[in-house]
Amino acid sequence: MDQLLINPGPPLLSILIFLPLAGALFLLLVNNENFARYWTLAVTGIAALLSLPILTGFDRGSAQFQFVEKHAWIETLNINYVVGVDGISLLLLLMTTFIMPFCVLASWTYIKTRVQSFMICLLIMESAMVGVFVALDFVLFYILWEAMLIPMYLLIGIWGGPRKIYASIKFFLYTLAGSVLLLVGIIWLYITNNYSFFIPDMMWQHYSVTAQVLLFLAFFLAFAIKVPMFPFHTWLPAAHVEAPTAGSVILASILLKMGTYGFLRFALPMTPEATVMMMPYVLGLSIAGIIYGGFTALAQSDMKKLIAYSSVGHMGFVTLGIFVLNQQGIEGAILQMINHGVTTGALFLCVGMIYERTHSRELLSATGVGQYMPVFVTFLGFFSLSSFGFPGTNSFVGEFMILAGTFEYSIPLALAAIPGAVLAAAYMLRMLQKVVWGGTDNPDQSWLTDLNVREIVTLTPFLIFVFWIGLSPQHFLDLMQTSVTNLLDNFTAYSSQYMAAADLIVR
Amino acid sequence: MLDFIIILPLLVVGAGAIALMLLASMENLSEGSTALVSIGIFAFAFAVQLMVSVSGNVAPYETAFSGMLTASTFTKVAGLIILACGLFSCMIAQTYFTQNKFSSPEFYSLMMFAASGMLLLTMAAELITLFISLEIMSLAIYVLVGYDRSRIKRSEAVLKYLMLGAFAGAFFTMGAALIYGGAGSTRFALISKYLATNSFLESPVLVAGTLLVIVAFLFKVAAFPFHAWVVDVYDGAPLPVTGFMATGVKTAIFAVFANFIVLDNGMKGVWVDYLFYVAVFTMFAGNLIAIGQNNLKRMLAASGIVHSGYLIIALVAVGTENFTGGVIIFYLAAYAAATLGVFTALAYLGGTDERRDSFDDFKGLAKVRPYTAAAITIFMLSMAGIPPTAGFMGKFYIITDAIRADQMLLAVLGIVSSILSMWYYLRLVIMMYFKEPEESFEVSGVSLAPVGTMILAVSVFAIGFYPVFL
Amino acid sequence: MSAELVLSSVIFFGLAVIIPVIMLLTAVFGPRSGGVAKNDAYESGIKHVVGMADQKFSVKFYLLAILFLIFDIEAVFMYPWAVSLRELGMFGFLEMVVFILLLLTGLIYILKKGVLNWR
Repeated sequence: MDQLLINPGPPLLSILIFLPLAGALFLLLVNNENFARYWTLAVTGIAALLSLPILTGFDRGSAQFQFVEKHAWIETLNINYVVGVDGISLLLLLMTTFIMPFCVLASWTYIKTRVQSFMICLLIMESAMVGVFVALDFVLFYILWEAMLIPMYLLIGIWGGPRKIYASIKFFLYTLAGSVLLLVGIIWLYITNNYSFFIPDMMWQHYSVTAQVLLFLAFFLAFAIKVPMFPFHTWLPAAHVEAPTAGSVILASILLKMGTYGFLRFALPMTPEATVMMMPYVLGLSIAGIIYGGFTALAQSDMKKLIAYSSVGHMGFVTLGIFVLNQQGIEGAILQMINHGVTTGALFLCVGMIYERTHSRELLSATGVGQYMPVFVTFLGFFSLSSFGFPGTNSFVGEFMILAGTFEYSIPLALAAIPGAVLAAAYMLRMLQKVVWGGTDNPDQSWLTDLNVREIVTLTPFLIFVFWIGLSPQHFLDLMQTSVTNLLDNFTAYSSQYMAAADLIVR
Repeated sequence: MLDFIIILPLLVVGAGAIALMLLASMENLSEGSTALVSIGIFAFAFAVQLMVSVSGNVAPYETAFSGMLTASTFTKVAGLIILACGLFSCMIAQTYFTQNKFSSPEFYSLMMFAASGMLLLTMAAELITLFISLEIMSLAIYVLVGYDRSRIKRSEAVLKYLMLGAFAGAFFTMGAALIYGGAGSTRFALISKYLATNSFLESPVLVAGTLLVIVAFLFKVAAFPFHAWVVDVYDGAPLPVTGFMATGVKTAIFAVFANFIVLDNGMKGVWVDYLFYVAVFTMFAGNLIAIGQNNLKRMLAASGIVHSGYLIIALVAVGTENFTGGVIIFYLAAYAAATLGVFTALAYLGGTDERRDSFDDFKGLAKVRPYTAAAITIFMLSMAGIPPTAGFMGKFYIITDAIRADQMLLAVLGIVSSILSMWYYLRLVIMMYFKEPEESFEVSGVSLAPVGTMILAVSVFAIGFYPVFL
Repeated sequence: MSAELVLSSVIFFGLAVIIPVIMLLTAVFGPRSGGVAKNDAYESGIKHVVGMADQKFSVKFYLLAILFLIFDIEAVFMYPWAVSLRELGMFGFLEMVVFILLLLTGLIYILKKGVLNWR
């Protein structure tokens, strides 16, 4: 328990988990669409505000878990309700609470049927997502991890596009199947670790190599599907394309991060030896994902699909950063998770705004809108630049750090990843060019109206973060530095203690 | 007096059944009030059982009724579940009979007779008592299954169930006789004592006897390869009876099955290897059957096979020392809550003569009746084992137990099967939520079942989060 | 071969031969009376058992027979109880009272339902 730091004051994390849930329960009784919208906006907004004290009260100098709450839950099996944040989860937590109000705003007019149900789903999602990032008990984690699927499934399935049923089932079964072995792994860890589900207890234990490899594979399957890494990505384009805007944003910005978060939180500390053994393969898959995502995105004519495939590429960068196992790589990866959340989330919002007007996501039907929607294309331009890592924007910092870390690890690997960055520029500029200017045969877009105040309010904060992270990343890096250093220190200590093949370890 | 305290709930239900039967013969009791009276009796018995459970009297083997009955937390909670099942089944029946006209007050009386048989079954610690209680339960259920003689489907169901049930009874009798021949007693305590000093495998009579007894149990819970009857019977039986069979009978049989299997470590050791395969095949056969169904009741019947498979995993993993059976009981409670939940919803949605019974009939329910649809979704997810429902916690405990008992493969196969089962549970959710409604799902008559649905929907979560059964 | 074995073989074979022979002889020499009623198949009060399997028939006789069986078995059950009543004592007496009361409620139910009215 020495890894826990119990802050005095109100139980902020629990409030963040249960406030949206309570909001959802209240909404069950309401039968007024407009009220549902305002109510959800208020609840998510309050949650966002309440997450600020966590940021200010967070002790940057400590790698311990902070704001910890611990209550006994199921005593016969030693399952506890334990939550806490550290440098790795803090930013993800904040991103979650901050993106949710904008998801509500983005659905303001987009969702026309069954508004209450939609808002209930959003609120339950928020509870579960916040919970996943702060859970320190593996059962709690697993329950929330799985519970998240249902509202997402409904979001896609009820309010989705034409092939929604296919997409929702694929999403559901794929991710569910991924976590099959995770549960077995969790229970094995529980029994091996003296019947404890407490996550920090399971870290840095010396399991046999076979067990570690099996555990790693179980983790890998669950997390790689969630990320999604290259061969497991096929659910993502389907789900993204069919989901409503808010669903796409949540998927891209938050859900995908859970996979990479899982790698950092579980795979690395619990199976260090297996991580080192499997590292080359994972890195290979990351590179494959980067290149594959880039090329596929280049060929898309559906804007949502394009962004979905670009996500595959970007998340490839994140896993690359994590598995090179050095300070810069991991910090870059965490930062890139946030960047991807901000940028891709914003891009999906942009596509959603176009879709609300033209009712099509086809690139060809949205060509040449720059003349009639100047404000919109300005936003789109910035976000596109951010997406391919233009210097000055957030992704540049993230990708730069990841590539720097990769160079440190292996030059050929880094060189292999570079084309990904080039491809990103290619497909993003292609989209931008078509949307803003198009060609000579543009459809008549003169009836389009530019963004209204609500939409501008929705997009502006994303733009602020694009530049804030891009120009002054140190604010964000400070938050995670201690935790990442601690993670790597532990890793090195573990390696020198247990690993025979010393030349394999982190350089 | 302790003896009588532990059978107090049984006496309440039995006396209630007889009283109701006599009242029914006087023919001055309306149908609606019979339902209310029976719900009241079940509730009272439930309260009595609860008091008995809280008072914490435990009568291990050898004591109660000179060794004929046993009482432990396990049997008491099993009794609680059975009584709750009876209560909700009566609610279902009350609503069901506002739309289907073949009821008479004896229906409820028979439900209570069945329940008293089940209660006795959970406590049985002696093979003859076991047989008698098995038959009290089965005979009542046979009659209930065939209650509506007007339709050929019902007659088919009752004939199948009666014939095969009689076979199972015969198997059991033969097995009990062989065990008596081998161990020299029909009492669990003495059999256990005999086995402690003599090796189980050295006595072929005992091996054959236990095999036959286990076959009878497996038949009653519809485990592979004795599962073929279940789909037709559940489909043919009236809705309240199906609900009661699926939950109450299963609870009772698994309670006594667990009591029986933990008698001796050597005996369990021999059968565990076979039960392993039975569990695996039961799960997958059930899944395969369920995937092909278009009718909701048939799907639930087939999924009941799968759940039996999980419970057999729990039996495989259970330890003979310090047996508490908490995992089994928890799973049974979670399963009963979800299943009865669906049946309470079907009771008022089904319409006249169970008009709506296929997946397609529930298209767009979420738009017309959002609360019911949400409740059904919760039940489906609980059965599928998706967190944070009770069904997930039940599976979680079972899998934890299995891994603890070094049955890693069984644990993995169990989860794989639960993923497969998503397919047919989700189908209903898809129909309800993703399709447009084609009708208005009018419900005639004021009824109790919606109340039951809501109570059970809440309890699905409550059981999961506050596992008092463990 | 021992004497017993020889003897038993003889008896066995004797039986195997004698019984069929006697049966044959009675078939040939025995007195016989025939008639429609005698040749009719008869089963538990139902006259025409041959015919369609799903035809309707009266169940009155069945009900009576089953009720008779129940009370018959009750009587059978009471013999050993009566013999050992002294050892069983008060407890045994009460047990039987409960048993008979249960049957009595059944009888009341039957009476009220009019099962015993031969209509």
